[in-house]
Amino acid sequence: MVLALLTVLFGIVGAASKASAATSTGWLRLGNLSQNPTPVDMYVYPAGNSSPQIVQHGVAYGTVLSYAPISAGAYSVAIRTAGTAATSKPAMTVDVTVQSGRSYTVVPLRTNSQSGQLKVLDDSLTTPAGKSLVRVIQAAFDQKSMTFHCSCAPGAPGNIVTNAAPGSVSSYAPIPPGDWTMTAAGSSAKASLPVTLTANTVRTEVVVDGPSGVEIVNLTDAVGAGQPPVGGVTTGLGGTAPRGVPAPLPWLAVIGAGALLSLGAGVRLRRNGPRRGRGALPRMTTKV
Amino acid sequence: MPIRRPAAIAFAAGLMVMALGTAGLLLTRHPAPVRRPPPAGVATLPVPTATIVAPPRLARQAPAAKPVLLTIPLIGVKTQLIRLGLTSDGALEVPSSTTVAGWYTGGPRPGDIGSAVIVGHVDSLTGPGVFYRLSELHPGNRVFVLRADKTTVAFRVTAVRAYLKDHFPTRDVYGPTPDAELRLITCGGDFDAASGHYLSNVVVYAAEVA
Repeated sequence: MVLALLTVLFGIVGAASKASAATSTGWLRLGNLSQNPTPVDMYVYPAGNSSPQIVQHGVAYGTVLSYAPISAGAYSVAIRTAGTAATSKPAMTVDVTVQSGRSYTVVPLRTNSQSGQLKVLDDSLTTPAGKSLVRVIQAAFDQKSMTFHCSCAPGAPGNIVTNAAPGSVSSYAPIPPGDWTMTAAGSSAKASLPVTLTANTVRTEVVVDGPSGVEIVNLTDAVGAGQPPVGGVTTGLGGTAPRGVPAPLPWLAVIGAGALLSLGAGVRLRRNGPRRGRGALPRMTTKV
Repeated sequence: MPIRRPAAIAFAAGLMVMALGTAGLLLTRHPAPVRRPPPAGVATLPVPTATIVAPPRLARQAPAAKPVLLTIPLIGVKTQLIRLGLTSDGALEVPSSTTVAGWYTGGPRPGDIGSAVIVGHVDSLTGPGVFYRLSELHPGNRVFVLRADKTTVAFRVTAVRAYLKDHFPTRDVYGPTPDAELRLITCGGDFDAASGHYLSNVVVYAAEVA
C-alpha cells in the first residue's frame, strides 16, 4: 500500500520531469564578420527593454565569441562603432527570437550590394548519425567569388560551396569523420587548413580577408559524443533499494502463538494456583 | 514448586513471544531502508538577467586535459575518475567498484565543448555507492572536476531529472551542445529484484561556470 503510493508519487515526479524536459534556455554567440578596420561594440537587449542584457566591447573583424546561454524569448541585437556611447543610435540592429534548446550566431556581414547587415544564423545542434556537419561563411569581401572544398571521403560533397559571393552563408553539409584538408579558393587568394572532424560535431568554417590573402577560421558550433552509448546505465545493485512493506501475517502468527502459550500457561497456573500456593507459601510464625 | 515452575515459565515465555511479535510487526511497518528522495524534477536554471559586460571571449580550440577527480561538496562526493568505454553491445561501461565514478572517454573532456559524461553507482549489494546522494542536487549547486594538468573546471547544475531506462534520452544526454557541459548519471527509481537492476536513471545536467 505504502509502496504503491510511493510508486505513484515517483511516477508523477518522473512524468512531470518528462513533460517539461525542454529547457527554457537557448544559446547566442556574437561576432564580427564585416570587414572594417574599426571594431564594434555589440549589445543584446530583451525585446522592449532599453537596458542591455549582454554587452561585448571591441569585437574586431574575424572574431566570433563563445556561445552564451540566454533565456528563450525575443531580443534585439545592436552594434555601434567601438567606443561610441551606449545611448547613441546603433549602426545596425536585428531582431532575434531565441527558442529553447536552439543556438544562434549574430554577426554583421558585408555583401556586394550592402556595406553591412546584421545577420541571424540558425545554428544546428543535430547531426546525421555518425557524421559531422560543416557550413561555410564567405566573409572575405575582397574575394568576389569563392569555392570551398573539403578533401572528404568518396560520397561526401567535395565542394561545400561553389562560387560563393561575399556575405553568403552555405547550408550545413554532412561530412564523414576524419582528418581533412579544407581549402578556400577565391578569385585572387587561396588558403588551406587541416581540420579533424569527429562524428556528431557541427562546425562553421569562416573565410576572412587576412593580412596576406584569405584565412580560414575553424569554429565549433556544437560537439556530441562521437559514439553515443546505447540506452541507460546500470549503476545500482539494490543494496539501498526500498523493500516493500513485509506482510504482517508472520508477526501476527508469532503474537498469536505467544498469546496461546501465555493463555494456556495462565489457565494452568490459575487452576493449580491455590493448592500449590498453599504449599508454596510457608506459614510465617513469628516470635518476638 | 516443581509443578508450578513450568507453567509460570511458559506464561512468561508466551508474553515474551507476544512482545517479540509486536516489536517485529511495528519495526517492519516502514519500508527499510528509507527510500531515497526522488529527484527534484524539472529544474531549469534561470539565466541571469543583469547585464553581462564581458571582454570578447574567443571560442576555445585547445583541448582540455583529462579529468582525474570529481568533487561535489554539497553531497560529500570526492572520487577519483576511472576511464570508461562501451560494452560489446554498445552500452556505457560502469565502474567495477561502487565507490568510484568513471568518465566516458568516447565523449568530450570536462571543460571542452560538448557534454562530458561521468557515471557512478547509487549503491552496492549492501550499502550506498559513490552517487547515493546524487538526486539531492539542485540547480545552482556546484560540481568541480580536477584535470591532469592540475586545473579545475567548475560546473553549475542546471537540471536534475529521472528517466525510465526504457526511455533514456540519448539525444539530451550525449547529443551535440554548443557549450561545455557535464552529465552525471546514476540509478534511481524502483528496484526490480527479479532482474537485479533499477528501472530508472537519474541524470544531473550542468554547464561550465563562465
